[in-house]
Amino acid sequence: MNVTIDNNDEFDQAQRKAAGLAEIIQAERDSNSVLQAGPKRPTAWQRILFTVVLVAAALAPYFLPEGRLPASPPEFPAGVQAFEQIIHALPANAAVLVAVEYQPAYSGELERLAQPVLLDLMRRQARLVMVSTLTTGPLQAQNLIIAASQADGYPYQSPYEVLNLGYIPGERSGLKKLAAAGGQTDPESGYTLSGAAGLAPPMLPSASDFDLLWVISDNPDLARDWIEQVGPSLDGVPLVMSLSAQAGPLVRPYAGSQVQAMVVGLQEGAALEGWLGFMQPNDQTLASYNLATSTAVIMILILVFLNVLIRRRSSPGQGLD
Amino acid sequence: MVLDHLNLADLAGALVGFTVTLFILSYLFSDNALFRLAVHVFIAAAAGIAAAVAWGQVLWPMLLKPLIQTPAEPGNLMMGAVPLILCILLLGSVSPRLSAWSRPALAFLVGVGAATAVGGAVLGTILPQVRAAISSTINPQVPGPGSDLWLTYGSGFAMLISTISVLVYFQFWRAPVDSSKDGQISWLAGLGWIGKLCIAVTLGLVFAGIYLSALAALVDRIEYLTVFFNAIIHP
Repeated sequence: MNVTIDNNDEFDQAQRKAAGLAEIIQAERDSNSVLQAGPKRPTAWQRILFTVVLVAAALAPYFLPEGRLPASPPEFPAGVQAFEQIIHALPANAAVLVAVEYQPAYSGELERLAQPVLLDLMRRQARLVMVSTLTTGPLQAQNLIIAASQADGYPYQSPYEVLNLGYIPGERSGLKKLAAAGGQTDPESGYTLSGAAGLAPPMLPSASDFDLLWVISDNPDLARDWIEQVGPSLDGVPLVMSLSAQAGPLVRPYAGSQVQAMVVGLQEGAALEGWLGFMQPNDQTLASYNLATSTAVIMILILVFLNVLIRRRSSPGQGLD
Repeated sequence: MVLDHLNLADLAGALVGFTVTLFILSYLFSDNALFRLAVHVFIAAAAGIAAAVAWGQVLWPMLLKPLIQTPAEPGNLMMGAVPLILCILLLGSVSPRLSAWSRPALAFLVGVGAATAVGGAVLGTILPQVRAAISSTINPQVPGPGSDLWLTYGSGFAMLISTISVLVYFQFWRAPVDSSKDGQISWLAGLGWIGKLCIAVTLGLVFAGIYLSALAALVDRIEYLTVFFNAIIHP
């Protein structure tokens, strides 16, 4: 086979490749040459260091004197304003269907989002009907009501003021059935959310007879299920959502059209809290969250910069291309 | 949290919560027996709750109670017997020999689930989102007096281009073509590249959202530990 080499660079490259091949073949022949494992990447101390820095940032507000907390003043995004306007436009004794669709792991964030709205609704004497497509949802709903009742100092009495209708089986199919014909029954009181007549007067026949549908969720798929299955049946009833930060980006496209108002994450929740008049002047939790977020962003930027520097300084591969 | 105001159950719950939180945080150093214990307890509790809710709110009141207490009513018999038979057939899936008996029930489940999902996706997402994407370009909602009309139209146009480019990126009916060999459809490759960029930005936003939620959970746990420590140190 005739090989034509055009210039010296290609010849040098070919020679280096041949030398590399020869080394590999020689290493295979040499039984004593054992490839040494590279040094262990020191990931444990890095992980601990990052966590210590994050936790220190989160703990700092608890040791700062009040009045020096770095909580940023809440801004009022359009979604928060729309949420507040919808809540305040509800009639007296409004009936609100509340979908509690978050896992216990996210209760810290979502209870913080939901409490001010719940308190505002309870002070307006709204009638609350709680449902969930999650098995832990009924317990979460119960915790929400208890915490809000304790904060408000006025225990909501079941079943006139609040009904926990519990678990809706069947996921999307269950929601479709709920939207069309109700049929969900409270095991304790026997009250039914049903399309049939003969209900106790305070409760309402179907989803479209409520004054508001409020979905609280950490999962974008669950939020989307409510929009797709129940949304078309609402017939003008506003649909509002309180969402975790992880669900927000994927549900945001529905805002303004199928979802009339949306509050996403702790920051917007704090803004709504302030708008509704429940904001604490020295909110340590919000300050802690803001500091931890800022610290995480700074650490990410530093690490990205360091990573780019290290990659630029490392020499290109000397073996085979 | 004031320890004096807690009854025994609340105090036990607070102690368990505090202990399990520390067990979970011990994963920071390495996987260990305490972390695994906490995870196992969590899985067991979640499974127990799911089983209790499934029995107390679904199987007994909706399926068995109407059949046992009022079987004479024709509606109860029909509405209860068919689901009961399907549930029993579904149990056949635990054994390879009996799995054929579970197929009708599985087919029914899958069929209903797929129909609900597809119907909801078309009527609840695709059509409204397409309508919104078009109207945001042709007839956008102007926020109010003093707002920038060009910005409003521009953002609507950008949304339309993003939507189209992402849909083009996911086309599979043509093989990727080198623009230098077939310049006629290089615009398709370019549009697909824009779609890939939009997807990358979206995934970045989603990741940021997940990270913020995790941070909120961490802050919540730190607050819980701080309050608990305070309650012990300053009762």
